[in-house]
Amino acid sequence: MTRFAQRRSLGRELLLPMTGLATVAALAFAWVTIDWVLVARRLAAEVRLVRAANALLYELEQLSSDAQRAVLYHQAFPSPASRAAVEGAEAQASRAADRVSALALPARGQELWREFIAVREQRLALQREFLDAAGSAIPPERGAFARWDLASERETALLADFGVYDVKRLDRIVQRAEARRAGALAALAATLLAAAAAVLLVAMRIRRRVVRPLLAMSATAERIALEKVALPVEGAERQDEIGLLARALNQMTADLVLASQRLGAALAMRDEFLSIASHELKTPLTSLKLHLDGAARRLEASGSRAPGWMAAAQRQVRRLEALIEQLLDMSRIRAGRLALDLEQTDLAAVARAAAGRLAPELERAGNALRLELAPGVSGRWDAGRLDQIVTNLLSNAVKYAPGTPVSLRVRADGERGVLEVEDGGSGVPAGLRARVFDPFERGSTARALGGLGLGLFIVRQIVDAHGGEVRVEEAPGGGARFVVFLPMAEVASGVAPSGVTV
Amino acid sequence: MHRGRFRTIAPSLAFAAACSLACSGHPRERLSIGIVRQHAAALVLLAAQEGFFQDEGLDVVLEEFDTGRDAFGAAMEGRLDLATVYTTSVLLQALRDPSPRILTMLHQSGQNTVLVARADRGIRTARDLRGKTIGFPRNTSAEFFLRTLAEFAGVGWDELRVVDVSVQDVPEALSAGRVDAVAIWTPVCDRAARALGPGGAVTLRSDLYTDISVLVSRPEVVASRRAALESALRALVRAKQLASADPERPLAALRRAFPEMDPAELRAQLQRFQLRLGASHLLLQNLRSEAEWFTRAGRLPAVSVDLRSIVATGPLDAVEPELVTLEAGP
Repeated sequence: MTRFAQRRSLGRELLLPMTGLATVAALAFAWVTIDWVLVARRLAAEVRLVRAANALLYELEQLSSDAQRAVLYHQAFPSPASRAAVEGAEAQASRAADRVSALALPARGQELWREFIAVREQRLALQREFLDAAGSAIPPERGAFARWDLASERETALLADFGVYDVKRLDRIVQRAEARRAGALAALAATLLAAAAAVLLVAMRIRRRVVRPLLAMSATAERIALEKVALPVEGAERQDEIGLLARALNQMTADLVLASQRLGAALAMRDEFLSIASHELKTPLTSLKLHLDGAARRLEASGSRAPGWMAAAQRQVRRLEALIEQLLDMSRIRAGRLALDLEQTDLAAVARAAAGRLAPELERAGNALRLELAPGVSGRWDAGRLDQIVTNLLSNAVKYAPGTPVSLRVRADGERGVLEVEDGGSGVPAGLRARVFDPFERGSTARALGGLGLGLFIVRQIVDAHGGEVRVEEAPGGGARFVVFLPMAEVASGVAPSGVTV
Repeated sequence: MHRGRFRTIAPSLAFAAACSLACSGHPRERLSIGIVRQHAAALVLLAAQEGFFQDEGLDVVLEEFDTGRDAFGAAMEGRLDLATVYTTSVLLQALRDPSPRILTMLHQSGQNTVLVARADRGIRTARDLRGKTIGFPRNTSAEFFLRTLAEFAGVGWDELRVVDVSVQDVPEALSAGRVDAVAIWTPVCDRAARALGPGGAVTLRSDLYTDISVLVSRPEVVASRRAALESALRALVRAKQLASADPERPLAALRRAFPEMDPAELRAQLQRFQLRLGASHLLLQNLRSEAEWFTRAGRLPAVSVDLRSIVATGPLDAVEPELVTLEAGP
């Protein structure tokens, strides 16, 4: 369970509009679909009605024509059979007309149909008079046929009007369907546009509410990492997941800073202890060394051979002295009191001298030293510190690559003097190369190798103080190659003047 | 033309037009309509009085005429944009230039045109018209009515003595005995019958004759002022809807237009009318029928006339498609 309170949910806040949007879009699609289905059904029903009416009209038209022909035949050849033919055709036509009357016609259709029926009845009445007269001994009245003919024409005209009306209904149904389709498409387009706008709004909200705070947190975290300071990240006041994250980050930063401060204090305490201890140890060690050296000189003066333990004691004292010197250098570096005594210095001479001094150690370790010292590589350097660099690098080769050939090179590379120490050992693993110049880093955890892990640290500090550069790389045979670049021309800044501490 | 009546109507129409113009800020399109002083103009009068033309952005000016023939003549001469007229005058102009264009029917009636005979001339049925002197305004629906009435009764046209009488003179010609009967429409027929006194007149009607009044224009007006014509038709459709919903409204419009007429008589006359908009086969059949009769009578040349071409269904079809039951035409 988290120790940070969260009263609002960003997930819900963002999920709700998205869910709402999806619901609205789904409802819109459902509405359009259902509406279209219902409209299609209604239109189909109307089309069926129109088709039914049209079929009946066609039938009625045919039957009326048959009846009119029968009337004309009866006029020319009146007989009970011809009269029956007329009445039979009219009966069928009346049944068709009754079926049309039974249809659920719209108002305008009913109006037209009523008019048709009225004229039809008028025509039938005139027809009966006409037929009765034609079948009787009394000749029909002059003009009776003209009246019947006019009524028939009018009936035909009204039937044609109804037919056109019916066809136009079909046109209107198609137009309505097209209009509805266009409307549905417009509604869908509007829904999609609205959805796109809503998605954009939600995206902007996500950017404002989530992405920006996360970017700000990332920038703050980067600053914390770089500046090693406790900076509050934004958004801690929020009650959602971002607030939760911000508060957790703030807490973590505070914890880290506290831990860092504690570490710093511990390191300072260590450095102070080492400084005090090395100073305290140096005095009796110097006294011990003087005594041993004095005893050795007295024995030498008396012509006696110095016992073996004395030489061993002197070596251990020198080793101890070197360790204490490293600790003291470490203390100076930490305190910013590493002093450089700059003077015109020949790098090859320094290298040769250091190599000569370390020759016995190299020999004991089985390292064949090869010197490649180009003359004329000189600059304003601290000869003592350069000696320390060569010493540390050669000692490093003795320690980590015993029994292998060691090369010490001095050369010029443009404006820089280059010092290289290359051994034939197993080299520095790639993962360790970045840390190998850090204090108390050792190439091996084997205690037998001894040392404090300060040699390379001191080398880099001295090189840095000279405005140079040091790096380690893999030698062609797989061993380690340490390369030191030192600026030969005096640089305007970055290099401490003579006697100045850095 | 009755200038006095026009002076009565014009100021109110002008005021309404000016008011609408001031309110809308847009100039209204002027449209002149010649109307016959009859019930046939009921829908036009109703649309004007109800402000439907103004609602459609029109500044309609009505001019009254005694006969549709005169209104039609003014329209064909280009003095008016539109006219209300019976089909007879339109038909007789169909072969001439300019050829008229029917935009819509305005009414249909089987009882509007009648024969009023003097009772003392022995006329009881149409068969009694043989040898009688009949007066009517020539080249009007009254002539066609008389022709059908005679033919349906088996009386030949040459068996009648026909006299051209102007509309104004019809009551006097009958009462003075210069004619035995007159063929004339509402409301003149009622005035003519009244002029003979109680029991002095015999009125004969046809059970088949149907007269139809229409709204007509010239081809160039139909072509160039389509939008205005559609607006006018839209106003008429509104008037027709109002008349169907409330039959008192067209009556009120007629009473305002004809204040001298007895309201009861006006109502009775209006009942003979079916106010109707549309372009139908029935209209076309009516025209063809008339054409056939006039051709037989030698009044029209025996040439085939495409009567469908004089019915311009486009504007009405655009306004109210249901009212057009003719196939697509000009």
